[in-house]
Amino acid sequence: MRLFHLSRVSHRSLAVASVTVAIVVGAPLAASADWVQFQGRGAHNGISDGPSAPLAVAWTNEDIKLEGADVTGGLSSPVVAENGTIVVVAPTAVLGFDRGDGSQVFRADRDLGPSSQPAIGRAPDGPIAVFTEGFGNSGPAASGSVTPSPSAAEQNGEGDGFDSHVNAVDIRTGEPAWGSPVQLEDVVQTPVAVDETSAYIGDVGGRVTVIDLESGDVRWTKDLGTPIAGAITLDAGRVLATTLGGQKEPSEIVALDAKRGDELWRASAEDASNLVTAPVVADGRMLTLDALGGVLAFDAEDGSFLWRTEVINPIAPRGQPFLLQGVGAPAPVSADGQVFAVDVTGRVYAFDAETGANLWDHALNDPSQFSPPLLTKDHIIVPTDSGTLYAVDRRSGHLVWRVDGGGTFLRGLSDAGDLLVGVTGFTNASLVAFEADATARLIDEPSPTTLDIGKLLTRFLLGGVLAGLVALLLARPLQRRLGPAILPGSGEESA
Amino acid sequence: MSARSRSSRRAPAPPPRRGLLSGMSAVPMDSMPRIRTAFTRGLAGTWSSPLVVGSLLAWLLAEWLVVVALGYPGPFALLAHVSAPVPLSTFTDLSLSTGILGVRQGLLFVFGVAAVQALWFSVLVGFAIETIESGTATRWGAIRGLRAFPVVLALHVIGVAVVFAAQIVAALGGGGLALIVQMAALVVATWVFAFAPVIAVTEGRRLMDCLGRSVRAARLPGSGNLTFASIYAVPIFATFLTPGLPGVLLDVNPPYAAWTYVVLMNLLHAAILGAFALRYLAIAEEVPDAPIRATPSRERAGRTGRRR
Repeated sequence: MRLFHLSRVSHRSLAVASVTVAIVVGAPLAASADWVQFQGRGAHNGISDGPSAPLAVAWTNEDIKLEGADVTGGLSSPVVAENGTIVVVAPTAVLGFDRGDGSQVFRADRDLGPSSQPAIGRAPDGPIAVFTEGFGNSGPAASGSVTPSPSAAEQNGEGDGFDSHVNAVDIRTGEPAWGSPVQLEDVVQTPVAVDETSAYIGDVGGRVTVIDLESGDVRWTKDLGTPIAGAITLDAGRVLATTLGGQKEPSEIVALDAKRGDELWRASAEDASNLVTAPVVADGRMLTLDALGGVLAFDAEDGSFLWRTEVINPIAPRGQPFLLQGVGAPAPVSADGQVFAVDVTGRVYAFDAETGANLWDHALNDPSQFSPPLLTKDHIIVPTDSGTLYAVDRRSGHLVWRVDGGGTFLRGLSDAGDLLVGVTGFTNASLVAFEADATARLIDEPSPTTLDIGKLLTRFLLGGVLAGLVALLLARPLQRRLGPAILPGSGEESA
Repeated sequence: MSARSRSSRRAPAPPPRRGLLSGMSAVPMDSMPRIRTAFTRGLAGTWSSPLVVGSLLAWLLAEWLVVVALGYPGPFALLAHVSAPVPLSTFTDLSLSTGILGVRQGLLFVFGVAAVQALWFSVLVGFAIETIESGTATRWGAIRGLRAFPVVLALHVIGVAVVFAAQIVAALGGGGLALIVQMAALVVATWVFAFAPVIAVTEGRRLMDCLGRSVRAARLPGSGNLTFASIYAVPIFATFLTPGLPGVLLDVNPPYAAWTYVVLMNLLHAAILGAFALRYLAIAEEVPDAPIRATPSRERAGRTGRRR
C-alpha cells in the first residue's frame, strides 16, 4: 500500500516536473511579445523575458522616410503589441512594422509634435495605439535634440489652430479609433501609459489627463503645478506622477487615486534635486533619479522615504549624471534585490535595493542619453549613442557583450518576444532588431574604473617614464651647451 | 620763489599714472630675456635635471594612486595641469575635489586639494629657480621652494575665486562671450601672478608684498609679460576644450598615450616655470617698490592745519 502510494506520488511529481521542465525549456520560444508601453508595463520596471547576450542584429529597416517641416525628432521608442506589431511615432505619422522582417504594415497621419513614445491599449474592437501630437499653445520647449524646434504654427505663420492632443489608431488598420482626438492644454514630452481601461498622459504644464480607451472620453484631469518629468506609473490602483518642481515648488512623486484622481500622498526627499524620471515600481519600492546624480527609493505603498545614494561622475555634463532630455526619458530598473541605473555618459551602476549601497559600476565610456536600459534574467542591456548595444552582467558588473546596431543614437529597446527592437538616428531614422546569437561566446571585461596595478604600472613605465627619459636625453646636451642662465654671484643673465 | 616751485623742489612729481595695458606700447626692455630665450633656458634647465623629471614622474604616479584610492574614476588627463601656475591648475583642483566628493561637498574640499597641489608646485618652483641659477637642481632647491608654500596656497585660493568669477561673468554674457571672458580671466591672472612664487622663494617677502611686486613686475613697460602669458595660457585653455585627447575617459588604468600626454604637459609647465623664474630674476632690480601711502593720521593733521 505504502509502495503504491509512493508510486502515485512519484508519478505525480514526475508529471509536475515534466511540465515545469517544458515551461522552462520552452520559455524562450514562448517569450511574450507584449511591450505595450514605456519600459514594458505600467510599473515601468523594464524587465524583459526576451533574448539576452550574446546578441546579433536580426534585421534593420533603414527605409523609413520622415516627413514634415521638422524631422529632427526622429522616431520615438517603439512599443510592441501582443500580435507582434511594432509601433513607433514619427514627427508626422504613426508607423506600424512587422516583427518578422521589419517591413511597414500601416501608417497613420499625425500632427507634427515631439516623438513621444506611444502605448498600446485594448479597445473592444482590438488593440489601439494611443499617441500624443501637436505642440500645445505655448509651442515646443527648447530642450534636447530629440525635440523638433519649430512648431507647425510657426512654420506656417499661423498664430493658432495648432494645438496639443491625444489620439488613437487601430493598429490593424491604421484607422482612427476615437471619434475625435482629446484636447490638451500643453505639449507632451513624456511617454503615454495605459492600463486595462485607460490611457494616462502627463504634460509640461503639470496636468495629468486620463482617457477612456474605449470611447476616447476624458475620465478625469489633475493639475500638479509643475511639469511632469516622466511617464505616468500605474501601481495597485494608484497613479504615480513625478513633478519636475520649480523655483518654489518641490520636485515630488504624487500618488493619485486611479479611479477619481484624488490625491493620496506626496513623496519627496530633502536632499534630492529635481526628479527626472518616471517612478519605477519594483518589489514594493518606488525608484527614481534626480538631476544631481541621486538614486532614490520610496515605499510604494505610502511614499515614505527609504534611501538616496548619490553617484559622482566627473565627466557628466554640468555635473548632472541624469538628465531629462525631452522625449528621451531616463529611468532606473530593478529586480532581485538590485537597482540599476545608467547615466548620460554610459556608466552603469548597481545598488543594493534594501540599503542603496553601491555594489558595482561599469564605465562603458559611450554616452547613453536618450533612453533607459532593459533588464534580462542575467544582464542589463544598454543602448548607446554610438549605436553599440552593451550587455553587463548583473552580478559581477563585467561587460559580457557588445554589438554594433548599425546606426548612431540607438535607443528605446523593447522586448518583441524573441527579438529586442530599438530605433537609431534622428533625421536618418531606422529600426533595428537584435536576436540571440547561439554561436557566439560571451566576453568578460571588468570596468575600466577597476584598478589593475600591473596594467597601471606597465602603462606608466612605457608611456610616462619613457616620455620623461626622452625629454631628459634631449635636454641634457642643450643644457650642457647653454650652461647656467644666471652667472653665479653676478645676478646677471649669461650671454 | 613761488610756492609752487618750492613744493616741487621738496618732492619730485609722481610718475604719470599708467593704465593696465599701457606697457604694451613701450620700447622692449633690454634686460628682459626674450620669450624664446627664456623658454629655451627654462626647458633646458628643468628637463635636463634627473631630479626634476624623476620627481615629476613620482609625484604624478603617487597623486594618481591616492586619488584613485579616494574613489576618483578619471579622467586622468586632468593631471596634465598639476604643475601649471594658477589659475590654469585650478581646474585640476576643482575637478579632483568634485570628482571625489561630488559637487556639493567637493567645493568645500577644493582647498584641501589645493593645499596638496601647492606643496608640489612650491617644490617645483624651487627646482626651477635652482636650475636657472646654477644649471642643475638639488634637494636644497626643493627645500628652498617650500618657502613659497603660503604664497602658492594663497594663489590657489585666488585661482578658485578667479575661475568662479569668470564663470559668473561668462554666464551673464552667454554664448561666444563666455569663452572670451574665461580665456581673458586665465590670461590676466597668469600674467599678474606668475612671478609671485619666484619672488617668495628668492626674496622671502610676505604674501601681500609678493603679490603686489608680482603685479608691478608683470606690468613693467616693454617687458612683454602679457604676450608671454597669452602665448602660454591660450593654447593650454584650448586643451580644456579639445575632445579626443588621450585620458579623457573614465579609466583608472590610463593608456600609454595618456601617460605620455600628461608627463609632457607637466614638463612643459615646468619649462614655463623656469622661463618665468629667469625673466623675473633678470629684471628683479628694476621692479619699483610699492608706493608709500600717506598715513591717515597725517592726512587728518594736514586737514586740521588747513582749517586753522
